Amino acid sequence: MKINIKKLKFFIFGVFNIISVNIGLAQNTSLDTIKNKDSLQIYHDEYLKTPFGTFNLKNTTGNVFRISGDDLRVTAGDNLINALRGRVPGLRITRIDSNPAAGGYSYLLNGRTPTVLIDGQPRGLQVDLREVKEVIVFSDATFNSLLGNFGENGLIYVITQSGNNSNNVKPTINFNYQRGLSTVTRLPKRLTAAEYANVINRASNNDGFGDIYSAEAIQAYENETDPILFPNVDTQETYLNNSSPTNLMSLNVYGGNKELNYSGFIGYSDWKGLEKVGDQIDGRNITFRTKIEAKLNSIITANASIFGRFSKNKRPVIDDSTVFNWINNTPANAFPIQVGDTAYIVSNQFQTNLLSELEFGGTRTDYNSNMIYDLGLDFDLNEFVKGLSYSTYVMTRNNNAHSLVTNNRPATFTIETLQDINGVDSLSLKVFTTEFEDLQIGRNNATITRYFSYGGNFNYIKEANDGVLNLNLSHLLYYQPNRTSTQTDIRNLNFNLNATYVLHDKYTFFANANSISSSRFLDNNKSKIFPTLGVSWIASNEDYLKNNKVINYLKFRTSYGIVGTEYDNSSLLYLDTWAGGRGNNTTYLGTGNTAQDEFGYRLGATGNQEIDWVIYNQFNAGFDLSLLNKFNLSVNYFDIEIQNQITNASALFATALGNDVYLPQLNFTESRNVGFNANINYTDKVGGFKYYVNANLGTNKITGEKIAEVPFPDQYRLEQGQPQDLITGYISDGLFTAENIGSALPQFGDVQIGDIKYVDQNGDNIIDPRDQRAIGNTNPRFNYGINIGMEYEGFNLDVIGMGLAGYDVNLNSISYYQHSGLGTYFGSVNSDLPNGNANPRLSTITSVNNYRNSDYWLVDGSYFRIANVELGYTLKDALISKSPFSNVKLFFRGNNLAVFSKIKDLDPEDLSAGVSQYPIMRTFVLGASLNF
Amino acid sequence: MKLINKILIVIILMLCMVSCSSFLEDDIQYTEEAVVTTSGIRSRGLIEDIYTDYSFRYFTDFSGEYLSDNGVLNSSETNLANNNWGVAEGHPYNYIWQQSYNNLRQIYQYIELIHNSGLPYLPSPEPLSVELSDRIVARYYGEAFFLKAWAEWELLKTYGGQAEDGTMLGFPIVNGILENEEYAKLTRNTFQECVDQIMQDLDVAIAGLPLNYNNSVVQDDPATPDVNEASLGFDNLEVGRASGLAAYALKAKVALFAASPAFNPTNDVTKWELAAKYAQDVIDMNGGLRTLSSFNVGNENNPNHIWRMRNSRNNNSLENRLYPPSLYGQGEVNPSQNLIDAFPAANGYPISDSQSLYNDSNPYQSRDVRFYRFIFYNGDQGFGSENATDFNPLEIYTGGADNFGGFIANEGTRTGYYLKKFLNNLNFDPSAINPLTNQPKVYVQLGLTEIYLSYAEAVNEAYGIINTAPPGLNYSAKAVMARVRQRANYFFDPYLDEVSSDSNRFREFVKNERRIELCFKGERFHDLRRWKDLLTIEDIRGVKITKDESDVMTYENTIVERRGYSNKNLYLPIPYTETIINPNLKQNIGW
Repeated sequence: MKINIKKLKFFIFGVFNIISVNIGLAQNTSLDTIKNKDSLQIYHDEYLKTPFGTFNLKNTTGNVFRISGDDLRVTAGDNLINALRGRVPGLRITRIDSNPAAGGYSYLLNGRTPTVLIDGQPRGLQVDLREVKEVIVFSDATFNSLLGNFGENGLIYVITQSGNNSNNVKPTINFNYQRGLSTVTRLPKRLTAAEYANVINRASNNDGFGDIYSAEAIQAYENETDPILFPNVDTQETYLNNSSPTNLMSLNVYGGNKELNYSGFIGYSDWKGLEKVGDQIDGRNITFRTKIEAKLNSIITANASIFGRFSKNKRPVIDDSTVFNWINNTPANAFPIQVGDTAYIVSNQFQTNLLSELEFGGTRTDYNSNMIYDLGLDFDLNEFVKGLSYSTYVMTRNNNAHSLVTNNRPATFTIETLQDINGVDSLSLKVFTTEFEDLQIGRNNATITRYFSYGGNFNYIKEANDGVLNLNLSHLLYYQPNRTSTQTDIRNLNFNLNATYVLHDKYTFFANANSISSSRFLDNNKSKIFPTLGVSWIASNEDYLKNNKVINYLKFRTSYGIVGTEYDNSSLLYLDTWAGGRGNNTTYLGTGNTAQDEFGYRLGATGNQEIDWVIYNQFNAGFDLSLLNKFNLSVNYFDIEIQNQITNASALFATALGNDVYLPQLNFTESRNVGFNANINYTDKVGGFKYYVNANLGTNKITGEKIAEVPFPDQYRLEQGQPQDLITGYISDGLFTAENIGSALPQFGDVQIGDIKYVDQNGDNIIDPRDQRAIGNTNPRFNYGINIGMEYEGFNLDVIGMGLAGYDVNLNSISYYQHSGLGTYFGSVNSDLPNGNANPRLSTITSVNNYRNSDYWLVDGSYFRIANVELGYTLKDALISKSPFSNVKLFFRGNNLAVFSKIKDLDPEDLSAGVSQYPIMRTFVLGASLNF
Repeated sequence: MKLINKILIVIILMLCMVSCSSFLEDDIQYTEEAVVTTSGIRSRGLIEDIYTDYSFRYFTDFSGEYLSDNGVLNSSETNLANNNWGVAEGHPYNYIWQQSYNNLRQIYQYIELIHNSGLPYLPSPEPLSVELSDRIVARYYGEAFFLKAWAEWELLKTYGGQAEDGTMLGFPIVNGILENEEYAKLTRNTFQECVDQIMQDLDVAIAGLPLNYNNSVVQDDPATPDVNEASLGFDNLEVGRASGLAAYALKAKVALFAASPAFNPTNDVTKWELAAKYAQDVIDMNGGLRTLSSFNVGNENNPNHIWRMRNSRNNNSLENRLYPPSLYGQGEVNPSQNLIDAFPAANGYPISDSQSLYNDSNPYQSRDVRFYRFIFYNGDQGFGSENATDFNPLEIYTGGADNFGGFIANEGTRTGYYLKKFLNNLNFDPSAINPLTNQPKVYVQLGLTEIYLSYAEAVNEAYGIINTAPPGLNYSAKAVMARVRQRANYFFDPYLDEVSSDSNRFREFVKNERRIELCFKGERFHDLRRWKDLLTIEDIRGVKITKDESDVMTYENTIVERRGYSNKNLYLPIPYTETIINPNLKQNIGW
């Protein structure tokens, strides 16, 4: 293969500071044709220029997964992470909060959180789905080591839309509009007033306290004859709308020529909450990004970009978790919400009235702004040293947030029945809280966070007779000051020197030396050097496979590297610090109500001057295979040993030494993350009908290899060598019955019929914490995606499914399944647990026996979800050839259309959703995309 | 190359050079050791800090009480108390091991880093200030040793016990600071060594401490600045600190514990004699057999409180959690019927005695005044006496406001009673404009009543002489008990006369008085252990009250929770994980 450096140069300044360059045989491997959907294979030389090095993705020894923005945009909305659900092998994405304004996802690559890079820069997840050009996922040491402190768990490299480097000066303009409607997937089941009263009677009778609600009262709840004294309030119906609307609009403009490239994006989104009364959640944000690149002379090309995201969200002053807690935790018969039009009612037990808060409690408006600026320079030094170039950038990011708050206290009343002198009952209202109106608007939660990075790279490419040498020398300075003077900044310096040598276009050898420095270490530990090595072999380029009819492509690759990261802590672990002082542990002496002057001081932390880097020894091996031009398969195996993790190892020390402050933090814990991910893809075409089927799978398990734990004599209690996500608890043996209660071993408290029976593990005839053992695991062992799509006559249908499997949900930690006392009960009390077990004995008081972690409470958490669906129609050229449009697409998109799981009452993806948080929403979107 | 290119490159390179050098030094704000150890006043904060561990232990005391026969928590079952105490289980006294050793370490930090450095309390060179400074430094040294003895006492009380081989062991004595690893090699000293160590530390404490902090201070008068100096550091602004009298009281407490049957298996009478002697020392030091002042933790100047701590006055957690539901509380602590039955009738006779005024169809009438002061009962209307009417009568009957399902449906009582003992008379109605929440409230660690009870118990056990002072002692056990009874308004006390004739009956009498006086102070469980009465503990009983149409109450006894303990429970287990980490630690017998 020939590489023409002149040609390279020509392409390099084509795009912004990050570009994909195609050289040699480079045909633009267009990623938006259906054939290459979710393809891992890169057939042609394709140089990715990043701020930390320029790499040929075809020959790389690393594991690379790519997906184009257009492919991702079968997803409704503006959230990139949502669009990645079920798409990337090994990337497990789950909803952690469904608030329309502040919701978010957790994303784990091979079980751990990767770093997101936007155009190669560490900017956080500051990107809009509608401006994404491509997402590249790197998950092995070849690339991880280049980012030093950020790279331990892989990289999600997002490339945003930028001007193309064609000679066509006419800009590409894309306008996109979506209108969506969200409905609730699942809400917890509530009890009616009569059902609730029956449950309370059951609990009370179990303890011999007799009926609390009379039969007449229950009848009155059922008949709803007296809504004041015997209310039956459906709070979900009262406070929640069935759906909430959202609107999204965006405009993309990009274009350019040899001298000048530009791109601009502006996106608008708005949303509303589900609240039916008062000030519902109502917010919007605007995102924009402009990028420009200009060639100043034959040597220097300058580029700059500005990104901004501004959001405003108005909401009730109580947060959404309060709203949902109050909706679900207030029984239907607790109180009539209002008497007359003015008096808000509460009861002495349930002291909060949501209506009063929503109508009168006040509002809060959150403002958030993110501004990111960067400025870069590319130096083409070809005329001095052939093949040499240098590019550099500085980036600053500022995040400002504040809130305006009015917080009123509504007046509430309790209902009392009084007897007049004739013995006739009459109602009266008794003041519970008095009204307080907040006349000032307070500003609070003001925060400023600043980020600063400065990076650059020398690149040198040299073509020899039978190979290509590619050298990079990169530097990155990252600075994140902390406004709190008692807490640490992030200050990192990162240098890499790496060489890639490609021999005969078949064999690649890669080596990198990473030098990383951090302010969190002392002396010799401040800077460390970590090596990485990689080898790959494109077997299909060997003569004997070159023209094989079946095997189009076959590549083997492996890498081994060490990534070091600084510890995650807000203080410097090498310092001896003292704590206490005024207002902290004050001793009250003498008499009187005056402030005291006696205050305590004590040791706060013992420093460890030897504290060292956390080490990730990453081994990765995999292959890419393509058959018959239709079938693609990629498999990646990883084995990551994590050493030197920080702990004070207090379990190994006697507690007689005092509090943990006397124990310095140590580099001690070792664990190992082993697993693989795979992607399989089949595409074909029958006449005009094109279709694809794609499946991906990720699996991993993190095992504790050296952990600080008490060396219990009962071997089954030891966690070393076991997965780190263990749930420990008791082994249950059903509920006690009249037959076996007599032979009950001593357990906890005074056990009765209907309590959970535990198994004695060590044979000492008493159940105590020594009988606990591993009973399950909390992290899914498998995550997978199944994607199916077809295209015919301008119509397209894409269905993206994702699922998790191989983990347990501990119902003992989920309030919806925990019943005790005479307080809140949910619909779950009248049915068995999702695992088929019966609810244990109800009681007026909390059982000390039943609500302990045990396998009685474990249920398989697996679920499969239709995450995203698009049904689209692209207008035929004939229809629009005379219009100003170059492309018109109309589409319907659906999000979270269906979910299949063992847990039926709640959404298995987030078990607090709908109970103590916003519910997970199902979204339907209609929209259009117009290109000019 | 164009000039502009050269300049740009130079600037970039310079930027890099400058940033590298100082960029990797992150200075955060923190308190260095020297900030504490070089300041005369701040350095004493090491001692002040320890007091907070002992200052407001009401809720810890309550959870200890639930293990005894005095009461239950209203919202949860009691674990461990029904023959089901496994060695690895958490229990209310779990924290004592680590807390005590942590405080011992901090005390030696103070001694080594600060006291031994000779750092004066006041920096001034004036001679008078030097004298004052020395006095305060000596006081802190005394406080350090008192707190050391206190931590050791808590260790002894909790973990002292018989080992498998029959020897009576205490805790590992640590006089200094060891390397972290060495704490895993400690061995338990014998019980007697531990007692001796505590006594020895208290002698050091007594040498540096004022007997009490009674001297009142004249408010600062600029005209005569020296007037205050004579009493500064020893005046009543310092009440709450360890005092000489507190050290004597602790000696008496330790000695009584050591003489008790569970820890004195051979019944060595000299131990009882010593306990009596130490208790008498306190009485003597306090100015003779004084009348006890009325029970009142709301009095910050109560002379009965030998060592009392306090919290911020603006703390109303006790009221919030203890008041019955109809008074807007959570009614958390439910005294048992067993305890209620221990209160005598109003004429001083036990309710089981034929001469008592007790009427079981009207059980709350004509009872001991302490019953009305300590317990919320059905029909109760206020504080102090039977006739007080501070609030509406409590409705602790089926369907009543203070039962489960009543005024606050999920708050009720399991036994038919709520605890009133430590409460002030406050209005907690949320609609009240200004609920009074800043009334004083102290937490008594060492009280005179307890000393009187201990003296009577020790004298009876040591000499069997009740009506007269035994040889070498100044007070008769009966005279001392009379002080306790007089506070309960028994100035004419035929029952005391009756039991004073018989050592065994007197023993039971003192035990019962101790149970009443010290209820919910966390003493009962330890008393049951040291008397070995834990083995015969009764089930927790309650009362179910029903009201008929004509407002007549009927009372039905119920079993609330079963109680049962075996021999091993006389001694508590050494923390299970500690015995694994440190194989040198012998576990108590049976665990």
